[in-house]
Amino acid sequence: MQKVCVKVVLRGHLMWYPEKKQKHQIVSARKNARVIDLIKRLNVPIEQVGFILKNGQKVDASLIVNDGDEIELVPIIAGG
Amino acid sequence: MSYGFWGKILEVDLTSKTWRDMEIKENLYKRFLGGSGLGGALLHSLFDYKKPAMSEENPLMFMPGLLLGAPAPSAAKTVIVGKSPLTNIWGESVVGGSFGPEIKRAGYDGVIVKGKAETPVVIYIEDQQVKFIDASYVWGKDVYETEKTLRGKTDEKAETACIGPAGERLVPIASIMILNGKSTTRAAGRCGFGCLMGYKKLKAVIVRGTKKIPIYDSKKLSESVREFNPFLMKNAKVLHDYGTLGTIQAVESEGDLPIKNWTLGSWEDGAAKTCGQMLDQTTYFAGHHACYACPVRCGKDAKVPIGPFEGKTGHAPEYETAAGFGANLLNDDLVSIIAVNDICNRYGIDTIEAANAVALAIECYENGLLTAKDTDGIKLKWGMSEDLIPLVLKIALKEEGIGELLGKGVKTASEEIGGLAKEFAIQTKGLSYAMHDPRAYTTMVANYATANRGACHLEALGYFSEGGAFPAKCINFYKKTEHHGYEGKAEYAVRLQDFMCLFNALGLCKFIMLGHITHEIMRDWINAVTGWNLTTEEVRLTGERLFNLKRMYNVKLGISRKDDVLPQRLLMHDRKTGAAAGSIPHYPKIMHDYYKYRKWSNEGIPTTEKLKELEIEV
Repeated sequence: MQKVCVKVVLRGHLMWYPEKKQKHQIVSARKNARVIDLIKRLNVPIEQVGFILKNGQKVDASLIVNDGDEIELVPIIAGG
Repeated sequence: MSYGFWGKILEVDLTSKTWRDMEIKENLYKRFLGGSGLGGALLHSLFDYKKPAMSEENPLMFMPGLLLGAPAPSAAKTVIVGKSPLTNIWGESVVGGSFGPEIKRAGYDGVIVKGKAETPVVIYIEDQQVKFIDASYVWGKDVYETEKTLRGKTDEKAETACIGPAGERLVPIASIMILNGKSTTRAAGRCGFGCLMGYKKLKAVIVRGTKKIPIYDSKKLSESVREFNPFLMKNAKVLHDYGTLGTIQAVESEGDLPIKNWTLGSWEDGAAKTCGQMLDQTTYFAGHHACYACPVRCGKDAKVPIGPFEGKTGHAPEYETAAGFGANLLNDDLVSIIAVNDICNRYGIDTIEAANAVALAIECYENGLLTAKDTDGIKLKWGMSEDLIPLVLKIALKEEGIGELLGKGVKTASEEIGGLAKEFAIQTKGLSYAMHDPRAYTTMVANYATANRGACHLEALGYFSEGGAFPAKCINFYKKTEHHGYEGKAEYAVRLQDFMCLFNALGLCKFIMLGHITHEIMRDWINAVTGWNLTTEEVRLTGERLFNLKRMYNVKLGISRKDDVLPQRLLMHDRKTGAAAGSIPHYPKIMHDYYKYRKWSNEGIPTTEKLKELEIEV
C-alpha cells in the first residue's frame, strides 16, 4: 500500500499527547489519509484543537494530506 | 413558598455586635438574580457610594450566586461585593470552593458585614444563628492555621472565609481565602477585599448549615445537566487533568501570554518548563480537588519544594499566578513559582497584583528608578527565581520599604516611584492586568477598557471565545472577525460582557463555557430551580442590566470615558515576535463602536433611555 509522510507541528500543550512528547512529529500514513486520521494517530483529543493550518492557511480536519505536507495543529485557548 | 432562594440576607453589624435578617422580595431576585447582581443592587440602594472604601460604612458582602445549593454544574461561586479598597470603585471578587453553598444551607442568600469591631473577631453562622467569637488567638496566624484552629472550635464540617497576616496589616492587595480542611484553598484575590476585612478586624466568617434549598423541578434540572455535562467534560479535559496551569503553552502559542512585563511576544521553552503538564511529572504534584458541584475538578495541589513552608502542601499555582511570576518575570523555575504562590495564598495576597507589581519593580530597577538600597539588598532582575521568595514575603507582611510599596498595587506603587515608572505600570482603573494580552485577541481591548472592576479578564473572556474554546454563536454573534482586527470587536465584547455578568449572578464558573453554555441553557436551569418562567430575552437583558448597573456605580464615582484606557504599552508597542507580532490594536475605532453599540453617550455614560429600557433606577 502506498504511504505518505507528513510533518505535523503540535502547538501549545498539544505536544504532550503523542507517545513522543515533542512539538514536531513525522507521521507516516496511508495514501488518501485525512488530517483527522493524523490527529487520532497522535492521540491528540480533537476537542483540544482550535484550528488546523496547512502552509499557513486554515483547513478542515477532513482534508486529504499529501506526501511532504506540513500540518499545524493550534490548540483552543482557555487559561484561568 | 419560594424555590432556589430563601428571601433572606443576613446583615451583621460589627460595631454593635448585632445581627438581623433582611427580607428580600422575589422581584429583586428576578431582576438581579443573586451574587454580584443582587449584591450590586443592594450596594446601590442601601449604602452611600461617597463613603471611603476603608470606612465603617463600606459593607463587605458575601453573595452566593442564585443557583448555589442546586446541582447545576459548577454552581459554587460566591462573590465578594463592595467598594474596592484597592481601586476605590466598584469591586467584586469571585471565589469557588464550598463556602457559598454553605451560606445557602445556613438559610441565607448572602451575608452583609457592616461596621468595624474594636478587637479581632470571628463571625460564626450556624443555621440562621450568629455568634461572635474572639479572634485574638488566631490574629497573626496564616490562613491554614487559622482555619484549622477555628474548625476545631466550631464545627468539623464548617466552611471558612478568612484573611491572613496581609489582610490584618491592611495590605491593599490582600485577598480573602476560602478553606474547609478537606481541600486546599480558593482565593477571592482581586480588588483587595482582604484589606477591608482586616480594617473591620474580621479575621474569619465561618458557616455551617444543614438546610436543603428547595428546588422547583429537580427532574428537569437533572435532565438538562445530564445532557450538558458529558460534552463539558470532553472539552474540559486539559483543565481536568492539569488545571488552568495546563493551558500556559496554548496561551503562549497565540501571543496571549504576558512576557517580561508585557514587552515580548514569545517564550516557548519557558512556557514548557512552567506548565501543568510539567508539574504533573514532578514529585511536587500532590493531587486534585474540585469545587462544590463541579465535574471539571480543575483544582490541583502541590507540595512546597523550597522556602519557609518547604514540605507543606497547598493549592498549586493557577495559570494566572504562573504566568505572572513566571513568563512576565522571565522566570522559568517552576519550583520558585510554587513557593511564592504558596506564600501569597498562605498570607493572603492577590497573586496577579503581586506579580505585576514585581514586574514593575524589576523594570524600575533596571532603569535606575529603584536601587538595592530601596530593595533591602535584593537585586531585582529578569529571570530572578529564588530571590522572589524574600521579596514576596516582604509584600505579604507589609515590611517597610519595598514590601509596603509593592503591596499598594501597581498603580500606586508606580505613582510613588515616579518618573518613567508609570510607563511600566500595566493597569486600568487601578487594577493591574490579568495575564492575557489584548494584542492577541482584540475583543479584550474593549473589555479591559470598560470592565467595571478595572483590568479584569473575566468580565468578557474574549481570548477564550476568539481562541476557540467558546463559539461566538452561543451568544448569537455571527459576524466574521479577525483576532487582531477591529471590525465587529465592540459588539463581540459587549455581548460577552453582558453574558459573563450572568455567571457572577448565578454563581456559575466560567469554565462551563467549555460546554458551550447558552442563554437558553441558563434560562432552563434558572426556571427549573426557581419555578419562574423567564424567557431567553429576559435572561439576556438581565446580563445587560447588571453590566450597566455596575457601570452606574462607577459613574456616580466620576468614572467616564476618560478612564476607559489601556496602558500605551498594550496599544502602541509591537512585540515583534510570536503569533501576535505586529498587532497594534485599533483602539479608537473599537471604542467608538463600543459606546455606540452600548447606547452610551460619547462620554461613556449609559443614556437615560438605556437605563429606562433596563429598568435601572439610580
